[in-house]
Amino acid sequence: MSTSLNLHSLVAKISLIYPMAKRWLYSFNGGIFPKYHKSISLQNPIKETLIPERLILPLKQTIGQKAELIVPIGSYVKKNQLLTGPAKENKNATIVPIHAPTSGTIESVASHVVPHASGLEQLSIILKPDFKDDAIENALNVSGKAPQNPQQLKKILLNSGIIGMGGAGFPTYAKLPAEAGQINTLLINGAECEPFITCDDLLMQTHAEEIIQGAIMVANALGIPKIICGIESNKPIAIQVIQKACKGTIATVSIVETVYPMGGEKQLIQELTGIEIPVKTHALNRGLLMFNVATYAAIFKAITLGKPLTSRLVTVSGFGLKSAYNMDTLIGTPFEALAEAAKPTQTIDYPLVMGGPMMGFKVQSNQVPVVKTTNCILVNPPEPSKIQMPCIRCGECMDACPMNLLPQQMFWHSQAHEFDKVEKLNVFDCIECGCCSYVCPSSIPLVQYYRHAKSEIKALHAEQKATDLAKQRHEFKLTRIAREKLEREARLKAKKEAVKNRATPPADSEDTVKTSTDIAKKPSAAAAAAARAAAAKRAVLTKGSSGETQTQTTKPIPEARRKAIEMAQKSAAAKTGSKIEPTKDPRVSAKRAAALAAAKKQAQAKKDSATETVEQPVKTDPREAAKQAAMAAAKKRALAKKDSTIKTASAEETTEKPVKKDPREAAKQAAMAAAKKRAAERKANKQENS
Amino acid sequence: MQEYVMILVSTVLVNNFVLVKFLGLCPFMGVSKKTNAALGMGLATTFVLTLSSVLSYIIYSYLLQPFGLEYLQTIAFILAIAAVVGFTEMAIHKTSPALYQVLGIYLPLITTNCAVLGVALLNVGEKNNFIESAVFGFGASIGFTLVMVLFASLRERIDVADVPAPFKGAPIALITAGLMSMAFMGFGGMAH
Amino acid sequence: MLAAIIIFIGLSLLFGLLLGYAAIRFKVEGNPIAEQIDKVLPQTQCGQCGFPGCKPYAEALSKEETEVNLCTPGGNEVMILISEITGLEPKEMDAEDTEVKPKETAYIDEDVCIGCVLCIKECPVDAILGATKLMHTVIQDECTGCEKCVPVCPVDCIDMLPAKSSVENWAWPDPTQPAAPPLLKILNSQTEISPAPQKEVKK
Repeated sequence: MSTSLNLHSLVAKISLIYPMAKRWLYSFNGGIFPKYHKSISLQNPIKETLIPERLILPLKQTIGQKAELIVPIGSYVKKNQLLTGPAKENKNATIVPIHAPTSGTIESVASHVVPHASGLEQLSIILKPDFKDDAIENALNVSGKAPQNPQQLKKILLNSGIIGMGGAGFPTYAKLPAEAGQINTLLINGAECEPFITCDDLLMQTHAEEIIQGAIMVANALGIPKIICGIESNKPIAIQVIQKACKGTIATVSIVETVYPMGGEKQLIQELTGIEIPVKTHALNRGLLMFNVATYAAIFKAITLGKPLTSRLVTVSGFGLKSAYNMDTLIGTPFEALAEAAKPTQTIDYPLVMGGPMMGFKVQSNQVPVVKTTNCILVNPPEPSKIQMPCIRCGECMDACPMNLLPQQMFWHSQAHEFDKVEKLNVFDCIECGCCSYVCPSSIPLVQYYRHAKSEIKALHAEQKATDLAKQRHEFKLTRIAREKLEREARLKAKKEAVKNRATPPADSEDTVKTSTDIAKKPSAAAAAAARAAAAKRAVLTKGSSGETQTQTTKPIPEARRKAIEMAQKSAAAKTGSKIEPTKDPRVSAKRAAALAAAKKQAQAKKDSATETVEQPVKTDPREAAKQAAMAAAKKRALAKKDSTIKTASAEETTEKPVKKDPREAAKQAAMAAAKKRAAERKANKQENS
Repeated sequence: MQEYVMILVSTVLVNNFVLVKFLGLCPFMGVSKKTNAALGMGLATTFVLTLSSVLSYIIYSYLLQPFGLEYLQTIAFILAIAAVVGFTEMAIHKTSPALYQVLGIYLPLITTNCAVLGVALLNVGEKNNFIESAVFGFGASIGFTLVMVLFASLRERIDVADVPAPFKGAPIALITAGLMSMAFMGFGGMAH
Repeated sequence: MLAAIIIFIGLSLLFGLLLGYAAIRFKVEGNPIAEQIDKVLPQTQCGQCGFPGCKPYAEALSKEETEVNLCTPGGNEVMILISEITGLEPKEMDAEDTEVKPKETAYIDEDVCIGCVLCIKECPVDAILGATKLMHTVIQDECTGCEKCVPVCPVDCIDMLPAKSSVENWAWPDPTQPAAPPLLKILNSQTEISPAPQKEVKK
């Protein structure tokens, strides 16, 4: 202790000549010592909660899935009532819920400007408070007992809608490890290094017990043996009360140097534990877990009182206010209402800033609501902006960077739009703390360049991914087309062979073809009609047979369908007037008697309808004839369906199917093949008859 | 041993082929826009130069000298260099596609690099023995690579710097080359 | 004289044999240049180059059978990259608007769509879902914006629309551009609010 005191006094002396000697007092690189202006908002006690005219609750929070309103619009809700659930598209997604901050009616769900640097609008719930603040007690339905395992804790945290309140807004439940014993030290971030902001300081002063108890509950549930609370040395009262609250517990207070950005997760971890978190790893991998003090207080309230996160302590400060204050603000309160309550020195016609002066951003509309990550609303009247000068390569930014990056190099390449080089310089490790911009003697907005570079690099990566995907999908499509072509060819071949096989037994194939053309050429109307009808029936058969011969592509036809096909066949035969001897037919099964009866009936039905189509001119071209035959057959089938009785239903089904299934092309081919086959059969029959 | 070190230092720094002897200026100006390309060119040249200086030594002392054909040395060396380049290109293409990708079109360009022929001829002129020739060739190419990479890095920076309009592009590159050359002259004081 | 001729013939033969052997020994399968070009191409598979996709164009380029300036979606940038890879002379783009326009994706007006599957057949990346006589829709994440489906639609129900700007896809503006982003002012004003510590001490 004495050595550190000596170091302090030594540094204090040296810093008169060399101010940056203060950087020797802490373990991370760089850092700056801005004017803090914290007294502006500390002079007043915490102000009573203000209920505005309207509360605006953006449906989608900083990180997470799309949510949807689960209570009807226009309904009355009580304070702490659950308002959102997962959106319809992803029912099973876990979303961080939103609860009603006060009682009132849900007026609408409308697009509203959200606190985001873009100033874009998002769907938000508009709640009109009734100023009664009618609350549901224990809305989360908790027993009040501390959770004993990570799952229980995670469940409570998810239901309570708690997200990281330090600024990043990462859902707290998701940050916890799934199993106990993975964490060896739990850290409490009470550094609050940004100028102007005092909400964490005041929270520690007033709710020290809650913070420490909340941390102990988390530690118990996760089996963490040690808790360290890091508080900057410029908050003496907070240190005192937290130390008091820590007495007799596993928690200890560690006073850290007042330097910006001490409150950064990686910086504070390095200062408290000496562990430097490497690139692309998380604190969790090193057995460390850190939350902000406000998060612990919210966890305590959720566990013991079942109170969801519906309000947070917000600092309203700045030079444009007469009485800056801290307030336990309802989530969804518009910025302007809070700024007006602090007696502004002039009308606020300039944009407000969400967050501190270092990392905050100007909101595009002063009506934006307070969200769960809003820790400060800064009301600083605009000042003439400095002109950006060329970089003089002084290296101040490099000395100030707390992440040990090379800001000047990154700036150089960002400026030249050489984003691949910026990425190589680890721009994604930049925490955008603004130290480099602060120290820059040329007033270069360095962080702005890194943010732009990050956006561009992300876009480039996304584009690359899309390109790869497109390529992959295109190649897949090409192989699929090639495969389908092969399959089609194989199918066609199999079909042809099947036709050939069927046609050959009674006569050789040459004759068959001849006869088929002969028949098609026949001018007799009746014969043509008959041919058409039969062709349609054969189409069914061919399809069936092709299915038989090529089992790998088509399933073998079921027995019932087979029977139906045979029936259809016979019906067609009966209609042509040719006297088939059932026993001679090679394809007739044992149940032919029943089939014959059914076929006769169907044939009767067909005959009635056939008369209509008989008049159609018959083309001599066999191809055309076959096409027509298929069409006519389809028509007839439709008619026959109307006429046919229940008995023929099974036959009907099969005749219907091919028409529905087959594209026109297939039907044409099938009809053609069937016509040929039929002709062969007729020939065979004739031979038999003669 | 000391001799070889002296040759190495001399060729890399003091008698740098590009900046002091002004050999191989074509790739020096042409392939120095990107550091990666410059490094690739340098590496390819290193390989070819070392091999070709050894090969030309063998050709000269075992073929040309015994038959009194010294006057044909240039043609013989060019033949050897072209063959080495062609062979190297094919070998790298097969064995290390990644390196081939980096070197790309620079490999065939080396054939016409006057530094390569220059080294072979200087070896003959200085009557270096086998190992000396190899070290001389290797040192020369390392010097070449060094200068290429340095110059490319400078040019990359200059590209995005605020250069007065008349000097943009080649003029400022030439000025830079001149300044670099003067800086390398400073090494002349090292060797006495 | 004779010795010179013999020596040179011998040397040439030797090197010739060496190179010949190397050509066989180190023969490389495939076409690395085509692959390299294919990597540069935007993979929209739009066919505006006259080839059925990006890869065939890349292959034709590697054989130097076609022009370098045919890739309209890639624009000038890709043209220059191609000419660098192939060593061909860069050429002006033929198309009038070589400016890279923001990426657009196809949207099907689902009320008008008749379910003809023509666009499904046309889509080079299978990004359209649907079946005969059923409404079609585009998988937005997979649409490359090649516009191939637009002309084939018989009822003209496909529109190319740029992606909506939202908080998720919003990008920080370029500070080198004249429009000063809001944050620039904040940081600058901050430098005035609390001057650098060095100056404080000097006072």
